[in-house]
Amino acid sequence: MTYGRGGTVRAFLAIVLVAGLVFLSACGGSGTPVGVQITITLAASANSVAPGQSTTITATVANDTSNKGVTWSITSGGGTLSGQTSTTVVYTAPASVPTPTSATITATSAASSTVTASIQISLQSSAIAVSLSIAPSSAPAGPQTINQGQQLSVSATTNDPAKKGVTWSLSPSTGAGTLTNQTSTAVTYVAPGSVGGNTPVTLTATSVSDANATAALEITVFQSGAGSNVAALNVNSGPAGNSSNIAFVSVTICVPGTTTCQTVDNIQVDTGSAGLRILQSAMPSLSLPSLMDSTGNTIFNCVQFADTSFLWGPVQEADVRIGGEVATATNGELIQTVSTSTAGIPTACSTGSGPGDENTPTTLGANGIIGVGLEPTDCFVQGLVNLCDGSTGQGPPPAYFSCASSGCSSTTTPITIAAGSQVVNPVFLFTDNNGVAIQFPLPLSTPPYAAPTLSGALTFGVNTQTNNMIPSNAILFGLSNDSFITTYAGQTLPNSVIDSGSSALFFPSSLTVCADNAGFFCPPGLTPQSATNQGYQAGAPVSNVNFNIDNADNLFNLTPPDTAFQTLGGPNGSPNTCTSQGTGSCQFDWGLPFFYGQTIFTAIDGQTVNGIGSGPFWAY
Amino acid sequence: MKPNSRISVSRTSVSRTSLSRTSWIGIAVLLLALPIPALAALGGDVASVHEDQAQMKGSLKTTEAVVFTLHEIKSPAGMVVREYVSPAGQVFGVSWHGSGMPNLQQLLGSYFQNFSDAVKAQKAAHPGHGPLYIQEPGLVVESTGHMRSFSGRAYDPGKLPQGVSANDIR
Repeated sequence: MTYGRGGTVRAFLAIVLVAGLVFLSACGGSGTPVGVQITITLAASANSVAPGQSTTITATVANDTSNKGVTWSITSGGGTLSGQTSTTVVYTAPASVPTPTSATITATSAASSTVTASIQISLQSSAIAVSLSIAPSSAPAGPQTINQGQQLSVSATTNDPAKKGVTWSLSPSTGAGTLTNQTSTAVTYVAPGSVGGNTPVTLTATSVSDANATAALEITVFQSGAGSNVAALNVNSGPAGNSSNIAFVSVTICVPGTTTCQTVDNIQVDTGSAGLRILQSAMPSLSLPSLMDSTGNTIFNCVQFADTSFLWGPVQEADVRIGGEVATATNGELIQTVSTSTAGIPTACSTGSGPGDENTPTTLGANGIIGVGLEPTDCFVQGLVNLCDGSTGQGPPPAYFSCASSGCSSTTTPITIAAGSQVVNPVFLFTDNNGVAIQFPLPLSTPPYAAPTLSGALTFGVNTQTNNMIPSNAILFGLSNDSFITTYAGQTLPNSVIDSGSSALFFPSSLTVCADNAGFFCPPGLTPQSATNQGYQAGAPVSNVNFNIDNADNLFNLTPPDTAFQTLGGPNGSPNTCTSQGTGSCQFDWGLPFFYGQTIFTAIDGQTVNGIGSGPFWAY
Repeated sequence: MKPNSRISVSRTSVSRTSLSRTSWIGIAVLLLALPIPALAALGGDVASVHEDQAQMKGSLKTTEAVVFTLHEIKSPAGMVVREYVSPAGQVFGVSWHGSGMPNLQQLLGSYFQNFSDAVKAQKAAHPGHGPLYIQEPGLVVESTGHMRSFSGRAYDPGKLPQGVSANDIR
């Protein structure tokens, strides 16, 4: 493991300091006042070392009137110490480190053995690492899309001392295309000349010297519409087999500035939030540096959802890659790593730790959520108002907390935090950084309007390239409070949203809710509905929407089972309760089914969109 | 909407009349300086605790309507919680809006376990996000919104005072 720039800097801030009380008068001491404590502070010239490499550790000892300094020992992790003095020591890492780990070196006061301090040194792995890049780029590659019949040049780098390079393989074994021009460091992938639909392919490089060292590149072959700013979307049953109407994408996460990466699939694409949040359990091979404050505390992030669920975990630096787009830690990319542990979560986040910690694939229905919505971070609201940095004069929402790395207490209260330390909408840091377009075909053009799986496309940028231009006949919706206006069944619903992260169309309606699950509608059968959508801008055009709601129990019991349902609906509060003050049920939530059969654009607040002005807006 | 059907039209209209006659702003507002009125979780006794206000470190405004008393707490972060108290002194409904979620364990009190079990059952059947709609015997919970803008309400449909509609809780 190699820390990038930020990780090294912050590791120095994380100097460990342990102190004990020494009553020198009891020791027949030299006049030091009773109760003054010796303290030891440790710092290392490098907090992360490669196998066999060394780092110098220095102790600063305070209140040590006898000036005896410290003695040194290795508490865990192996390696050797040399050149010991009363204030410095050279630590050398073991020659072989099979997996990234850390060593702990302890300094003990020579004047008082109860006073000790320890420092952790990260040990990089000696195993051969393989990484892939899309030629001629030297950067690690994220999941790619290419059109049928097209080619992709891929190169491999290893840290193999024997420099034997890699061998290449392609899966599945049939229908995945071919490999040409193979060398020990490069290959050309040739996609099939014709595919029936979005076709996933995995290209794997295996180190010749170490068969356990591999790197894989996910490639999705499109019939058309692929590109370096395009990611493949899939609706399926997800990582735990229990998902429906969730759009998944694959994302490559790297330790900042390194080729130590992991591609995580089944990340939910959510236009209703901002920021990437990945289950810790879904990226076990990565150790990302946590964001720390000036006191050495870890910054934790909380995101809450309207259904009272939440995600909790440390803010961490990462390089995030999808296709040719990258958001680097150097440029400010911060993600939330969703803690596996349910301990140490403040009540302000958990709202009482009842139903909501969705830190497993089964409970989340995904391996993570990538928020690609209207705002640059999870603290902004329309107009680039930052609710978390204290600029509004109000206390911060329950989004950020400063605690020991092990977690917070139930009573920890949220902190104010600057925009640069907030979890970022990764699109905001991409090359195509002003929004996204999401496109899905219809699951089925006839009843039951459902399909076992569905493939679509997530295109980065709005009006930045030929493949993300808003069509001239599209309707554009200006927003207020990140919402637009839907009218439905005589109700004007001013807080309405388009949200790919919602798994159905949710609206206040007199339709019957299901007896076994009040979260969905169960009308007797397919029930035609209509609504209108309108933006807040002057002279905003009206979009008429005709849709159907079917019986959810029937949809969920189709054989074979489907996961993409265009006619799935559910209640959003109670009908006819929205008041002019905006209280009551004032929202139509156009969830993922609304994306089926069309392309929907989401433009980020404050970002320029060629030919239009700036976000936030929706268009379809 | 089974629980709502128990509320007669006439009772609804009585409540509506009483509210529209005075309107939210026009209701006789009693800013009770001393003593601070007690608050309770859903189903709790109004004389029992100040816990919600203390937990939210919030300011309190108390409004007496014809058929119920409304306690409104506003936290330093702008979270607004309203507690609807019957003439008998019982909290029969709560509502909230703000940039985060309120402490539902605190707000729902003895109803929280029932709520928690119901949400877990819904989510276990179909993971995914969206608004929340819980309709259990003796408990309705609605929660909606989007990032940094949430609102919701909870009430016991069997404990609405005479003349109060569920739609008055908002």
